Amino acid sequence: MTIVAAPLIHMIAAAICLMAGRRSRWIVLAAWAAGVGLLAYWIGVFAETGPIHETVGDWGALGIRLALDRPAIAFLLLEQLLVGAVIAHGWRSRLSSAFYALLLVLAGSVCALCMSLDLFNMYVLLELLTLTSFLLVAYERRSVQIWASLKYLLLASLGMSIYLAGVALLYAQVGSLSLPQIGEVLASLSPGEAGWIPIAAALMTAGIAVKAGIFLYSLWLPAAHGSASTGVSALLSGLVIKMGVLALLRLSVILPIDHVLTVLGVMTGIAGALYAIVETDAKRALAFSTLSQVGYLLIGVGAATEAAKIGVLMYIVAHGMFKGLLFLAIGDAGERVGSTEISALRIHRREIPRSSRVAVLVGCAAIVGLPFVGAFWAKEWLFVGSAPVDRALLWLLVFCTALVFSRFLPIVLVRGRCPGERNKSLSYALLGAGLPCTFALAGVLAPGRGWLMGTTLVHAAWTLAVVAAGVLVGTRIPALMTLRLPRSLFRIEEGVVAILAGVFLVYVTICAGT
Amino acid sequence: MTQRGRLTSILAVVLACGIGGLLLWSFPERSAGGSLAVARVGVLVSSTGASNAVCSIVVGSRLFDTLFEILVYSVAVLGVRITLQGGGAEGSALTPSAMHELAESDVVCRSAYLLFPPVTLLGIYLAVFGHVSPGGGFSGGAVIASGLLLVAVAVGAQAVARRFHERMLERIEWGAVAVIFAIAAVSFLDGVLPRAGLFPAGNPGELIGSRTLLVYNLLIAIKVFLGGWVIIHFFIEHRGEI
Amino acid sequence: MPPAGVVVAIALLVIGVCALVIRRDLVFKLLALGMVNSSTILLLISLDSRRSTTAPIVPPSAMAAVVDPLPQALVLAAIVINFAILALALVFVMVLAERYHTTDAGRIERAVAQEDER
Repeated sequence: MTIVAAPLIHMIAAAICLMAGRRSRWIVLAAWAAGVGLLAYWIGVFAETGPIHETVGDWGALGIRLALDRPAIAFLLLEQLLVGAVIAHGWRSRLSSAFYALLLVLAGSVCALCMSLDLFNMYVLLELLTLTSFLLVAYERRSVQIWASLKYLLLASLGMSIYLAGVALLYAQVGSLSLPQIGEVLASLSPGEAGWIPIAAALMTAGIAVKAGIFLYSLWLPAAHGSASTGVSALLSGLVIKMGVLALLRLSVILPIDHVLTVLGVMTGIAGALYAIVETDAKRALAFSTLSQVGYLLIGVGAATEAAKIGVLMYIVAHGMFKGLLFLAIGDAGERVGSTEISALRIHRREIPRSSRVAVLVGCAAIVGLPFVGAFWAKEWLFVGSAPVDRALLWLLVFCTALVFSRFLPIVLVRGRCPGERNKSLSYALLGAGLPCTFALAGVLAPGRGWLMGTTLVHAAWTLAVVAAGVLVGTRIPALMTLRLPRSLFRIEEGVVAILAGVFLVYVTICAGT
Repeated sequence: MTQRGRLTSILAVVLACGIGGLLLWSFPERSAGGSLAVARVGVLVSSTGASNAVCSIVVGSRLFDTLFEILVYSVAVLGVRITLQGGGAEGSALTPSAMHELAESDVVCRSAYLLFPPVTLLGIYLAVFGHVSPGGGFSGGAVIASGLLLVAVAVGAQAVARRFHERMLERIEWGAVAVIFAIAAVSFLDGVLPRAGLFPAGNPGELIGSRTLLVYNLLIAIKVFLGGWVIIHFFIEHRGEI
Repeated sequence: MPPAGVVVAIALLVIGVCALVIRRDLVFKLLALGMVNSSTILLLISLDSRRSTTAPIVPPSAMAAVVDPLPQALVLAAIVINFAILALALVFVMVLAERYHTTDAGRIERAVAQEDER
């Protein structure tokens, strides 16, 4: 069976949803179930024969290259889990058919994007993702949401234009849009002919970085993710941001941007963590922590080793699930309390449903990577795959993450018997089920991982120590939370200037690296 | 303008000029695609049987792009509708006010009615002959929609909208999307797309030669026309409100 | 020296980006964004502009020197995407303008922040 079936099924279901106008949730559920079936089939095929490559419409070498490789499998798994959880979460909310259609279009474009190996196809799909998430953020039409998503649209569209300019330059020099072909041509260029590569790479990297939640580029992110409705923020933070990271991962195979990604990763990780520490609103703190987690991913991609790449993929899945879980649980708690301010949640913590509190606790434990939970395995791969300097930086990020999430502990560590709704608990359970999924994924992505076992115990001990230090600092030194950081960065004008400066940052880093 | 605003602007100008200079310096005199052009056009025309190579790419070899491009358009139409009309979580985001019936003078109205048939005919021609001459589904649909725009601006959107059933339009529009995706799915699944698609290819230059492209173009034209009308309708209806 | 169209496109890109920062009014910002987006379209379509070439539409008999058809096909997608983005952004600016009676980005930013704190 052809691999384009998954996106096509989602899109047809979206169209049927809008045509029928009723029973949309059942149509969505059917499309989701079909997606799960296809994914299970492909994982089976992948385990047997390895990556599946396909070219759609290849006459005159103009077709679109698609591949179902390791990244694609990881992303499809994440997509199915998160969309399933969002469907379960909103089952009783009487959402309109337009919402479900947008959800299906978003899921379908994620499916297509994760297998696309064509630069222009990636552009179209990223724009489709921008538009659907733009509409989903503003779905409830509160002014904050409309303004946040308008800023998002302006900056993301500018970023995509810059990316397209880079693609135009690459095409003018190489004459092809498919990544494998471009890779072959670039490898055969002599140094004298390659003067344009840093510029094309800078434009494309900076353009995608706007969508990937990288600090200095994605200054629209906290407002959009913090103000969107519960299920939508879970999808955006868990899935849509990662699509940008995936695009960078694909680009890093052919363009010399490994070093750049490490630099951007460090910047993003530290800045995101700082902003998350001082943020008073729980959902925005989660959004900033997404920035800092993207830092891990970029450092992993930049390390450019096989182990680090496996780590990145596992971390994308683990983080997507548990950040989604946290957004859903905190969002529900906020709905019950009437505000998502951390102080308000702390005061009214007894009114928060028990299932939400358990979910927050599990999510925090998984995201900081406590031994043998959630992101722990992914982080281990990341550590094994990266250089010693990067490893120190990664430990710093683990410390910062623990510091951020220590602030959620007072909310959840309380006795109380407030019951939650059953469908919401089901959505938590679906995401919590990600734990065995990451194990299974490790089996598919990296067969024969016996050589890691020796380091596991040492790694676990280190993690425990660093996380304990982070929690201690977070709970004992409240003065940290009153740091003042510049807020005016988050306006449109500054955002545009930051993107332009980011292009130069990438350009200079590439030139310095070669 | 504040001190800070001025600083930001100066920074932006400097950075943008720098990027522009770098781009100018790095573009080649001749695109690498240019030397491949003749060979590409030859292969395209012989595989689809349509003499318009651009159309062969759009609804042929890069159909996988075009499918999502169609969706981008439909999502935009959906977004305009749920924001201005309601149908999302709440009602319309704009508070309804007395509808402005800004009809133009009699001369304008009559000439708009007079111009509408030839414009529509031109749009249909562009869509039907899109694969053998300049044109295609997108441009055809856009031309028909702008013909309707002419009438709507002249006699008022309400008068035109009365002839259309809102819900029906949406159903037809998304129905066209579903059919396009279904045809694409069948041709992808069969593995016949590398030739001409669902229907057999003919000789270059014949109208009926490459029926698949014709079908795609017609469906796209219907979709673009209906979607364009919805957007235009809402924009005209809310003009002069703010 | 690249083709003239490419030079013009790059100039438009620079002007558009500058206008996006300098003009504070949202409608002007959208115009600037439209300019940036259209400049990339012009860039793509003029990559392969040479003298004495024809459009890649073949009369059944002869095939003269034709231009590269691929960028022209890509441009179609880019145009539709730009149209979609501008339409949606305009609708949202309409909604904001109706709520705050201004299209000035700075004022809307402040008003939204105040409303959020309450």
